[in-house]
Amino acid sequence: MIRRRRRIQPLRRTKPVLILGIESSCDDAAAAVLETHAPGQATVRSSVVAGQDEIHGRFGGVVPELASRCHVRSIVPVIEGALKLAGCELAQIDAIAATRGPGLVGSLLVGLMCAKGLAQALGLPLAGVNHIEGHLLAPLLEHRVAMPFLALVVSGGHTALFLVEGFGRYRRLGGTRDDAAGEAFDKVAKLMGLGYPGGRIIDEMARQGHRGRFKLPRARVRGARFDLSFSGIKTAVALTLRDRANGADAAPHDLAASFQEAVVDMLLKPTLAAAREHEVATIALTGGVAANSRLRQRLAAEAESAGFGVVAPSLKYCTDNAAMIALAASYRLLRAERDPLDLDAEASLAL
Amino acid sequence: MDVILHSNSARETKAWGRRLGSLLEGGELLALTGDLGAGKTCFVKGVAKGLSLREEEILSPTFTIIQEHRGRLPLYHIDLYRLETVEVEELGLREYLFSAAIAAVEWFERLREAAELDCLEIKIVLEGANRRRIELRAKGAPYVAVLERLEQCFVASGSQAPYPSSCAKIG
Repeated sequence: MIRRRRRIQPLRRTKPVLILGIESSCDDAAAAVLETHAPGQATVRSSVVAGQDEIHGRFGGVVPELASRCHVRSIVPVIEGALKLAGCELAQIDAIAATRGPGLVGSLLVGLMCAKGLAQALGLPLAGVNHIEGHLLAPLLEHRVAMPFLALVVSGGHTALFLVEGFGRYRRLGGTRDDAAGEAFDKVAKLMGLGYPGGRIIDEMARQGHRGRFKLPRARVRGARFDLSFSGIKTAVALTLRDRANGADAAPHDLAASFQEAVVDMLLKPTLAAAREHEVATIALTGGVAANSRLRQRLAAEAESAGFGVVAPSLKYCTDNAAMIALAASYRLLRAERDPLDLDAEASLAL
Repeated sequence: MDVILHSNSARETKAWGRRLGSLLEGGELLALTGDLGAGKTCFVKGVAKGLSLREEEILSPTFTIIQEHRGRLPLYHIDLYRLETVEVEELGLREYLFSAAIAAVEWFERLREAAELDCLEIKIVLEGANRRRIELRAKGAPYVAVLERLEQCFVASGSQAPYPSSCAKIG
């Protein structure tokens, strides 16, 4: 059977292209309008994120069923908000991008179905995006970064080192074997009875603590230099707390500082080794844990003294957002690639 | 029926998990409980090995809640940590818990129906820096059979160490 290929006009033209990005992989529903005329050269016209903290706070965590129901309610207002902020109408949008994985399936489906509906109704090209690719390219929203560069993605759900060789060309060099770094922060905060979100609280407490007070292990994975493991340090903190529970001074600030220092040590070592081995000029720090002040400070100091540049997106682009999703779709859309409308969400989509 | 195991390292905990995993026939529900850092994910890594999966594939499912793996039998690795309580009818959990695959559920006590379900309870207790007590309790006839098979392994190897006698390693 001969299938006639329909010619699709490339989006590249003199006039810049407007991409509507939609992200709903976990707790946040987000939409953004991105203006672009060449891959990696983009202006964020708007980026709107609706968190669900007040809903999940009552439950002490994310409730997937609630998250997807909440997304159903918030996704349309979020898209309308992004369009309004960008000062444009839906009719001016040239293409739609949406996260298709990895994440919670129920949550992913809300954003993706909405994107598919818009693409169908408006006759626009659709691009499904891997959430991790969004994080990898997020530094390009605000910085010009020459490729290849090394990206350290650290968040509540992911911790991995990638070599970004070009658009669509990513090599995973290593990552966690168990817990994500952000998960370790949250769980240690929980162990210490500090509340949620753990990352920010520990960061603040650590400022007043003595980093060398507690000796905590720096785990390494045998035979895999760029891999990490955070389950051991979580256990070590649990044991430290148990030992000190019997009346001894608990010194929470010192414990927070010692824990944070250990995590930063564990993240920096493979990052710098990978940067050296792959001879990159720049290290990009991205994901929610990139907000950690000690990690930023030490990466900047140690990478720069080793001759590497460091870029980190501002906080709103480190955490989940739709601008990075639109950006990660832009190079494909500019090449006139599009995904079929029967595109499915995948909870454990690989990059 | 109860079986109590002792582990002196993460490696031994994994080895116990592997032994249990190799005895599973499909359709089993493993109900894991224990504090943060006790070694639940570590034990599941071992179970995965016993199902001919690579342990590196098993990451903490805290963020994604449900991870599916294809081994000798499919393994559904579920973590209810982020949920305060959840019912079997939510999240499509029923399909995961009652299938021909293996379901390993961390923080099982957060399931509202936890007490009523037939399962193999696996409680990991932190006794010291590396020392753990692993308490296995069968709830339901098929699980009694699993524990009997596990005990036969000790008889065959002549010791209650997690490693087969051919590569016995104590302490």
